[in-house]
Amino acid sequence: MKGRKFKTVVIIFFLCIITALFMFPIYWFITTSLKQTKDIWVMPIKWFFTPTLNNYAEVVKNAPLPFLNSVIVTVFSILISFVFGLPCAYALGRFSIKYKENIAVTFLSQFMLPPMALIVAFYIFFNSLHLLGTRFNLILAYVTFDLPLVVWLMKDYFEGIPKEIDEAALVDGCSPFGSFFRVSLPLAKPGVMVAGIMCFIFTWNEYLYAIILTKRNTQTLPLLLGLFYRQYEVAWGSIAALGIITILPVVFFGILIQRRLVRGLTLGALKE
Amino acid sequence: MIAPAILVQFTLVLYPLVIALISSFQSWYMPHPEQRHFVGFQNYIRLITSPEVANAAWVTLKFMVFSVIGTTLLGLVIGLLLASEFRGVSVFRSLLIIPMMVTPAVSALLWIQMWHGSYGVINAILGPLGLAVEDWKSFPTTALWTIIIPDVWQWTPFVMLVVLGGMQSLPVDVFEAARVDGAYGWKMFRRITFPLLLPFLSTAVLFKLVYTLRVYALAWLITRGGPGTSTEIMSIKITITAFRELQIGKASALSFLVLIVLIIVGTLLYRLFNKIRELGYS
Repeated sequence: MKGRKFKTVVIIFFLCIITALFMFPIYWFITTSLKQTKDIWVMPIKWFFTPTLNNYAEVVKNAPLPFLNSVIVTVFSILISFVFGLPCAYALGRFSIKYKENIAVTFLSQFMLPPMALIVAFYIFFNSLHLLGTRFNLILAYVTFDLPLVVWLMKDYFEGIPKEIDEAALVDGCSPFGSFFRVSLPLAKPGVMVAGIMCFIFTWNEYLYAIILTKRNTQTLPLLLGLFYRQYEVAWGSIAALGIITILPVVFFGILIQRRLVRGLTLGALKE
Repeated sequence: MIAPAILVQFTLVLYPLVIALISSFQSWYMPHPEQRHFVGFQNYIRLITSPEVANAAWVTLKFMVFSVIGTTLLGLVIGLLLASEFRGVSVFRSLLIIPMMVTPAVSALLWIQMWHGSYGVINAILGPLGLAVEDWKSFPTTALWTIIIPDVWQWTPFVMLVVLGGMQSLPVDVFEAARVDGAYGWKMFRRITFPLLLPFLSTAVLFKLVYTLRVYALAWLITRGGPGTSTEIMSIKITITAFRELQIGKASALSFLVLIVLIIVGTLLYRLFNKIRELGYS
């Protein structure tokens, strides 16, 4: 017993060091966001300083439009993906359909396509439709990975709900759509939440599509960060404040579903 | 119920890809669309023989290999530490997944500030040890590491979570039986833990590879591909060809080369990893 206790102490010791190392960059960014410019660009480094919220005030004044763009683009791409993806996932997980596995794997492979292989194609496509620079074309670009993610994750989830429940509904005279809306979907709420958050993380953080497909008034938060950095190279306080604001929602939602994160990120290959 | 989703996905991905495939056989300089004309395989031949493309492929490969090795080793160690049960372990688990959520653009800026030659905190800490480098980002030897290390920092939590999940799903009695047989420490890890974890690790590596191919913001914001082209990964090469050199036809061809390589390598890797997984279960 004594040996085990000692082992636990050693493990906690190492975990403390590791956690400190991994948290340090974020800690450092938070302190930067609370510093005045004169406290940021000094040597030796100021570990203690008088904190200020001026940087946040500055950012809140400058960033409403990109923030709004990010919210609109994220919300709509997730909504569209759900509207089309949920029925598809339900059908794939529930009914015996020809080539069911092939269809599912095709969706999976679409998610895995790296953005760099698609961006030129998207540019040509949206340019020919005169959609470049609008929020709409960015939403559509994001649907191309959110939709497969929804289909694949939710198919998995619907398969886990006992079949008998829908069968009872179908026998009672429900149409497939009826049993989907009234029976399966309410039961699948936790799965919908996880799929939604996974989409949120990928969409909110995306950069490559956003930088190519948007214009000045439709740019999203990650782009504004890059812009801040290029334009005001010394205003690190504001850059850090904007960065912290950008990651807050993602970190919040991520921790909310941390137990299911593995399953989401490995697309159901590993169960939690 | 399936058709609408397939329709949406195919119009949004397949159709643009077909247009891009056509333009990959064209010479198409963006400012002069009227001079667009077919050139056969010229784009492809030029790209395959181009030293710049070879450089981008080589840099991408280096980046992927080091990043995957780094995340896997660190993730394995931390995951195993986190798998032990004691009061408060969940605090560590929650804190350590945070880097994974950080927006890549934010991650880039946060590391740019830390790498800064004169005022960066990394030099401030390494300086007294005599390890400071004048400017990490502008030396070809250190520049690639200024993007690999942030990437490892971001993705170690992913491997860590997979390992943790794996450990929690393994039956406890296997470990107890091994302990009775006298397996401890390193021996236990090599003979029991590692083989049992292998299927999980191979899944983690496979997905890490997929996510590494998505890297763009991190590299672009930190080094912009430089100095020279020493950190020019493929995603940067493609965007530069298309949106700075404005050679849309050439950039389309490069995208397709990447796709072809990915499909071939991806299929091979997928088969290899399936074999490893079967090995692990038998």
